[in-house]
Amino acid sequence: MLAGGRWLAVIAALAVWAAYFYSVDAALMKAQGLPVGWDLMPK
Amino acid sequence: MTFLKVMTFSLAVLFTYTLFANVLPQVQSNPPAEEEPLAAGDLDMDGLIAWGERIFRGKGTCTLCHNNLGRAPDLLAVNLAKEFSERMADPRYQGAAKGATGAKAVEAYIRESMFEPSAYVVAGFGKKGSNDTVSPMPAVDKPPISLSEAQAHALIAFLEDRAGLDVTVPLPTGEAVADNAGTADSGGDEEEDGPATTAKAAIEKFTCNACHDLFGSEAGAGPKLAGVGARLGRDGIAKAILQPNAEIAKGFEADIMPKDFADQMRIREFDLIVDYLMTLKAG
Amino acid sequence: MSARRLIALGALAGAAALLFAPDLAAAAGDAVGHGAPAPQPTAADYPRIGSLSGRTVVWVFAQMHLFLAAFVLAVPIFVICIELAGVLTRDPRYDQMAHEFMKISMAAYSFTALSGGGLMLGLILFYPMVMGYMTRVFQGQTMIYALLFLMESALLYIYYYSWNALRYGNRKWYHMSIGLILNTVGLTLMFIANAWATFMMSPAGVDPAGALTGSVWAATRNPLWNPLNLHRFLANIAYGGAIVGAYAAYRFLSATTAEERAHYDWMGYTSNIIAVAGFLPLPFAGYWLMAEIYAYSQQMGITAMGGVLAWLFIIQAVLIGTILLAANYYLWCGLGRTDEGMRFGRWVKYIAVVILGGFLVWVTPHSLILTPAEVQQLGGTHHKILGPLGIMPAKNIAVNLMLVFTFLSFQLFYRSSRTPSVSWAPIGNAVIVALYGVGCLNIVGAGIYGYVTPTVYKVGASVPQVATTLSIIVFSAIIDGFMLRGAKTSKVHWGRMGQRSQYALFVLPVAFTWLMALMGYIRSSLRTHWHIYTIMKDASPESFIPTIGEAGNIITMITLLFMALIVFIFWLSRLGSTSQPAPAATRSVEAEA
Repeated sequence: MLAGGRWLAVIAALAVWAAYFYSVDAALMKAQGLPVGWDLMPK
Repeated sequence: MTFLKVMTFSLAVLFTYTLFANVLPQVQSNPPAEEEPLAAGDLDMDGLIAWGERIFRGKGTCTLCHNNLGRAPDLLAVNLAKEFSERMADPRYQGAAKGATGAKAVEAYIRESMFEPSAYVVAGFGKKGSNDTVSPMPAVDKPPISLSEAQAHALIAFLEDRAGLDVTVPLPTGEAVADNAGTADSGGDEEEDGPATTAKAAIEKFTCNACHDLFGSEAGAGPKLAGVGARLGRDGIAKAILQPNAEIAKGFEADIMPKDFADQMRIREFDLIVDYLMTLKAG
Repeated sequence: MSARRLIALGALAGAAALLFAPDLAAAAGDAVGHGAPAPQPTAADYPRIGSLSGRTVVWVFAQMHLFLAAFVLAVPIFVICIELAGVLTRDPRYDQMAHEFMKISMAAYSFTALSGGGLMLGLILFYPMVMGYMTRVFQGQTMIYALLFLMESALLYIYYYSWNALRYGNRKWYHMSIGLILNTVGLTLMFIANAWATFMMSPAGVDPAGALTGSVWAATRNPLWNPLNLHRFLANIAYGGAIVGAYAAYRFLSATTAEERAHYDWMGYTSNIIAVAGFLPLPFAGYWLMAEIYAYSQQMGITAMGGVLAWLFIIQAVLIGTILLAANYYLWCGLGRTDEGMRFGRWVKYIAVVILGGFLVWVTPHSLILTPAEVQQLGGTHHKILGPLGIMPAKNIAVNLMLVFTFLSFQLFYRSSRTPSVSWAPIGNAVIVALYGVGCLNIVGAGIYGYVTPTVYKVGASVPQVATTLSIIVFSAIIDGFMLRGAKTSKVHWGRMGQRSQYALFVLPVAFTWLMALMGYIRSSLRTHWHIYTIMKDASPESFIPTIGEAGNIITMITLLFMALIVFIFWLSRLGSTSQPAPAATRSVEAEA
């Protein structure tokens, strides 16, 4: 694999995981009856 | 040889844990001591207030939550007079002292907070997920706190005094003070004129089954109560009993159900009825 | 469908029926409420026998019973898993190990029953009114419990003694079916006993006076029942793994041949995996239990963590910290078994820093009992820097990171003997590294969040932290599963372990045992001065909660008793395979005959 391709993979992976954890965090807070805004801070 | 080495090592590990447990601060927790019965004649208002403070810090276990750690309003630190009037003026407050002012109203508010903590929950202190409608505080007249009427009065006196108000509760009589146990005895016999001690007795005393189908009465003047717990929840049932005109069931009319249960029922009788209604299954 | 398949299916159906049997019987016994309320004993109602402390007698029997029961329930769970692994991989070593695990635990069963009998006797002798009430509430369930014990014994002996007779082919499946039913019966026994214990803490199905208002099922299914079921199920597995690991470590240290050493090294490794696998999800089960305690009664919850029992959770932190350090240390030593393993060795110090750091944070208390002079010196009731480390957000960060990095140790060890041969390996590695990185940031972030938000949000933020840890573990395991398909494996030199590493396998069961007893002390103390919380007061002279020091001493005494018993049980398991050589005279007579 090209070195550039490797960096792309890392950044893509970081983005995917960040999106995953963000949505899980938001969903879990809401599921517990704790309303949060887009920044996950209490509404 | 291996056995000795292994055993010595294991014992050393064990000894470390034991040592650690012994050097930490040692606290023995004793069951609450029985209150010495006070002679009624000795108890003046100052004595009552002092007794109330002792209960606040002791048997009432109030300071377990009402402290500066954020679980419940820190009653000893805030300006109680200001707090009380703000709470009672809160638009969310729909309790017994709504719209009223003065020392008697504050007494009603305090009493409600102690015996029906979920009637009104200060913003931010409700049970998680209940949106400040359910209080994590237990009712003080039930186990595990089980305060007697006299002890509850003492607490109210203490809080009123702390708020700088006149104390509105009466001094206890001799019999009331000697009653330390607090919980009703579990016999189940009901006295002729005394409070009902079972849900069935309470429902018959207030003739609920004359209009609602309870205990096989098959009465139809009021709505069916099967599954009412799931439908309305505790708060809904409470409101339906205490403020019957607030919400009328479809097909029924207003001003039929008595509006004065809040004055007629003892809190314990009310609780027995609500508890029982919560257990009714649908269908 | 062949007759054999039918029989196997029938066995499974039977197992399922057994699982539901107590509930069906309880539902069948669903009668009108049995009117008698709970008795309210006075101090005079508690029998005294000489100067014996009734509470200590019951405590010792109860704790011994729990240690042994945890062990004998756990072993069949992982034995059947290893047996299955043997069938799937066709590697006979797995089956031999499974058989050996069963062998070393056989003698423990009778001691479990004996200690259970002793417990019942102690309860009847010293707390007759409590026992009378409990049997009134649970009625027929107690008889089912006794019957299940008979079944458990029968199944256990059949499972063990038929091992060689039902060894291959279809017969192996029959054998595993027997093991499955054995496990089902064992679990049901635990669930029933858990119902009684949790009923005493969070009674359900009874009115405030204690009279049964519903069925036995309602009393069984009280709020703390399932949290305790899950917690004990997981903890048993971890505990069982730790104990057999000690056995393996001891045999390793006293091995005389290289084969023996290799065999017991492998057994120790497997035991450590079982212990860690059971251990990793435990904090979450414990959290659920605590959350349910808080939901049931905030007072009870605060007594546990904010009140008089709070210090015990610091001791718990110390114990869990040593367990994690020992398990990790063993894994790091294990890297030396492969030639490539040492290249991961340089990362070990970073993992060690995280684990040790997390441990120190976890150990830091928040509320201290200080004298006025100390308050002045400290400049307040809490230390400015260390104080904030004592509250939950910091502790949650610590424990989640410790678990993630423990899993990392295991993953590194697993990788040390496998080199991926798939073409997308570099991307796969990048994805895993990114997962760990973002996940850890999320854990730390959720923790910091707890410092700047109201209490309810602070508590709620711990759930995303748990989910993060679980996500890291599950996803990296899945990715590795695909990435290491057809990987180039290098030789694992089983037996190539230093002596020191085995001592880590001794720390595990000692710490686990003491920890279990400590948790039992906490759980019982949560009821404060109640036998049945809010229903039946404890009016005995011993209704106080003893100090940690006193409790620690009793716990140590029970642990010592248990250690002695386990040594005896292991010794017994080897006794059977020794035999005395015939004396010379008889030999020559036999030679002539």
